[in-house]
Amino acid sequence: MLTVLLGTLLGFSSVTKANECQQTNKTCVQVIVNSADAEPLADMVVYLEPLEGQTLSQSSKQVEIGQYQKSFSPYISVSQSNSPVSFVNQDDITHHIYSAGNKNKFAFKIRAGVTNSSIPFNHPAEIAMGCNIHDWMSGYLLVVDTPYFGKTNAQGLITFSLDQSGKYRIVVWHPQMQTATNSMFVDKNIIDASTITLILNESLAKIPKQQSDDDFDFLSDY
Amino acid sequence: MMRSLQTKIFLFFVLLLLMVQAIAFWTMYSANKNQEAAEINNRLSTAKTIFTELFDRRLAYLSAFAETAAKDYGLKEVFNDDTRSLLVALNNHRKRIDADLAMAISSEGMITGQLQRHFVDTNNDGHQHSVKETTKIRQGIERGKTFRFPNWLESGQTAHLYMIDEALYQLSLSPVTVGTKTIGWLAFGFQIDQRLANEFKNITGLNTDFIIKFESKWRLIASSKQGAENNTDGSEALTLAKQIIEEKTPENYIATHVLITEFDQQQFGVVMHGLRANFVALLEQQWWRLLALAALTLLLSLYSAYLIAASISKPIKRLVAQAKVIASGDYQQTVTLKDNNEIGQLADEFNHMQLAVLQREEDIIHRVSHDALTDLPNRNVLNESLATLTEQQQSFVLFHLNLSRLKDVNNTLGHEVGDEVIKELAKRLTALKQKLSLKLLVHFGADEFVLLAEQGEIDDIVAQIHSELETVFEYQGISFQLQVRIGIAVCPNHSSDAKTLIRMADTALHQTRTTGKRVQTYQPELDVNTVNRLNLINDLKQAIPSGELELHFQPKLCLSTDIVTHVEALVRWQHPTLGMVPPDDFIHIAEQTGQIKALTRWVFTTAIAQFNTWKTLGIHVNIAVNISAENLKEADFYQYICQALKSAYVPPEKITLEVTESSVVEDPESAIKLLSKFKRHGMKISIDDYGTGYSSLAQLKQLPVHELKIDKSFIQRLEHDDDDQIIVRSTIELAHNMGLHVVAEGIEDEFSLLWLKQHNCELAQGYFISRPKPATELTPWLLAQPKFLQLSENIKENV
Repeated sequence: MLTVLLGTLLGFSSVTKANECQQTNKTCVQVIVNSADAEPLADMVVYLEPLEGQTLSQSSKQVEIGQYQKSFSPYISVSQSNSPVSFVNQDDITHHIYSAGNKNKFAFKIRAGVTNSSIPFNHPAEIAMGCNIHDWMSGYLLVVDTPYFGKTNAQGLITFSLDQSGKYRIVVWHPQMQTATNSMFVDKNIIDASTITLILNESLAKIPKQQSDDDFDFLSDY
Repeated sequence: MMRSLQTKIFLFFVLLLLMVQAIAFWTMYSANKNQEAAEINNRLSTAKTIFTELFDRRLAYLSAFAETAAKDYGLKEVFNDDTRSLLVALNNHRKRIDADLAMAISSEGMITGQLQRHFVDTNNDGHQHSVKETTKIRQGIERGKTFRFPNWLESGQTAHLYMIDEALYQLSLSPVTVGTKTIGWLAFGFQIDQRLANEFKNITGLNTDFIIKFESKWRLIASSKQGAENNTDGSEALTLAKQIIEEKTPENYIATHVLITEFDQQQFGVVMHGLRANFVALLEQQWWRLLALAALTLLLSLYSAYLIAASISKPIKRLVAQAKVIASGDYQQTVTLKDNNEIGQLADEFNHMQLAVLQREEDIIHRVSHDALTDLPNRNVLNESLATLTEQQQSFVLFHLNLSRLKDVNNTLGHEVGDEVIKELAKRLTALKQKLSLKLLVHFGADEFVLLAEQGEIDDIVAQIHSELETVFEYQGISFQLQVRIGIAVCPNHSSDAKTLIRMADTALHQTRTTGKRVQTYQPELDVNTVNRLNLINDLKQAIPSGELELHFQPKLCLSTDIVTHVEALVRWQHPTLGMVPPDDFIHIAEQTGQIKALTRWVFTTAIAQFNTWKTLGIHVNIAVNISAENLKEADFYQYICQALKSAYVPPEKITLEVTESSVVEDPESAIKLLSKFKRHGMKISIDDYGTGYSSLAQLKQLPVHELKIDKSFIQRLEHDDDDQIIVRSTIELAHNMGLHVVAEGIEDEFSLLWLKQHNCELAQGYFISRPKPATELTPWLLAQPKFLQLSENIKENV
């Protein structure tokens, strides 16, 4: 917590960088996620939860989870609850996508080239997905109850435009984050544009490669 | 005790065989031991390998299965929500590999499902014959509890040992994932129990115990021994297992162990063991067979060794036996051995040797019984023959022949000629023996022969002998008259004893020398001297130390003054039993037995002592001492005489040394030399018994003497023998002409005394003047000299 706090303090000093959303009347928040050794971390899920009952809009973002080259693409997806999520099979073979062991259990077969949007995700959840056919495929869908979500870019940066200022919980999540909930957060009263830097206490676990460990891949011949 | 060759060879073989057998046995023994050790080692390491393999395989099987089961979608679907469905799915999987334990663990580490096999002993239902155990799968007691080893969940290792109460399981954990997200774990386990122990025992034949150490205390989990966990056997099994784990396996066991350290506080040990005896039983059997074989070969070898030893020593034993036969004098048997080897050769050589020994012995016997020169039987044969004859009480005549003058022949012509003469005599006597069929002819010694004849006409035989020898023997141009003197003894007339007969004949023969006869038959009178002589030889040795000798003195009358001026010292022997022994009897013995040296010296010292005694009494006489030929040979004789005179302060000229003619004749040169020394020293030298010897006038001329002592044989019959008168007269003249004095001895009558005086003889000695007398007797006689002058005057008147 102390590290996060220090990071936060550091963030205030670099407010001037948030010129991207200055033309609007919205509060512009930049979040930077760094590793313990101060390297920017990309593809980290960051979302903000209002702590003072600020009204939230429904995000217009529609998440597509592709099955490409026998892997989930992207590896991590994030979506607002009640938003449609589409599974797009970009491979030329059938996949059997499933999730088990939690409340958002689902399973379906998806043929080559087909898009399936039939699964509703109405509650925030951390959904681990696999393919019953391709054992190595592994993907995550994080369903959050806020429109302020996204993944950091290569610079470890993400920008949010808040409709209302106030106190928010800034959450960073990643399945390989070495905490009990795979996440960390910092609560912050956001009045005006600000930059918040979060530094992970520990480095991430190794991100699994979605690849068959077979000696030969006879499936690729199809 | 000496060991026989056979025993030695046998012992040698026994030693050799024992050594070889010992080495072989030792080699076998160590090979066997090594084999045994290798076998056991092999067995144990195989058991260990099998166990490890089996154990690992079970684990691998479990792991593979757990992994496969964890991938099951159906199970994943019910994993977190429907417990009943989860348990059914779990049991379905469990059944496939008949696992004893199945567990589902949630991602939070909570045991959400646990299925455990329980053994139900159906022995209680009354079916005594059926001890089969049935099993029931029940929910485990740990459901809903937190899994005790959360670190197992995190680590990649899948294989573990897991305990629930008393039951120990091999456990494999496998994560249940959705993609890479782990939503929980599945675990399957096989119990480590008696079934495993039995299975293992069936494979390896080794008893197998599983023990576990918990809080530093070992506990028996399972054993292949039936019911080992429950009864007292359990503690025994545990004790043994502990010893094995600590590598202190008892000697009668073979054992190995595997120690698996799995938990923080627990150690799992697998102990495999068996009684050593059970495993080495086959080897033992093999070993006993080898032992029996070794013993058998040893026995056979020993028997062979005995046979070999016997076969080597048998012919040798025969040779030994033969040698004993030969040693006993039997040369007739030969030994025959078929062998062509060294022993056979030895036997041949043995026979050759036997022949050679026989020949040599015959030769030796011949030599022992025959004279080397004439090859006639010798004295030994005579002794034997006489013994036989006397034993058979036969009567016979013994002729003892002595060849006359052989010594002269030897001295003048040499021994070779003498030998030839003897051989000729032997030849003729042999001829005579055959002619007269005499019993025996013996070459008795140098010039002596013995003839044995059956009692018959003695004179006839003697005549035959003489006639046989009559012919002159010609040798190298020299003619020899073979003349013999004969002594005769008759058996049994004279004696029936062989030795006595020989002595009697010898005595008779000796008698011929003195009598000059050619034949003498034994007469008892002849014998006396001979016996005495033998005794005297022995007794003489004691005579001087025992003081048995005494010195007598016989006066010599000076015929010009009629005064006794000289005496002759004559030794007398007062024998303790025989009485007075005349000097003629023992002087000769003394000379022959080497006692003359001591005798002469005693006489000499006693004489000069007497000289000094007389001197103190006013009697001044010259003392004459007889010197033997033997004395002249003594190296220190001169030294001794001079020393004795000097120490007694006796003037040399007062002593006369009387030397016989014959003693000078033997070695004239050295005798003359010695006598010259005495003469120079001042002593008087007198030739004793002059006229009886063979001394030539030339020798007499050289002899360094002062006087001649005419032998009594010329003097005794002077009155009646004209020849003697001529000899004595001319001898006196001769002596005087050579500047020598003359002593006459043996004067037994007045005539002789006067005659000698008339013919200017210097000294006279004889019974007529005085017998030899001891000094005590003679001293007063000398002090009161009888008037011989008066007597002589009477004689003059008579003539």
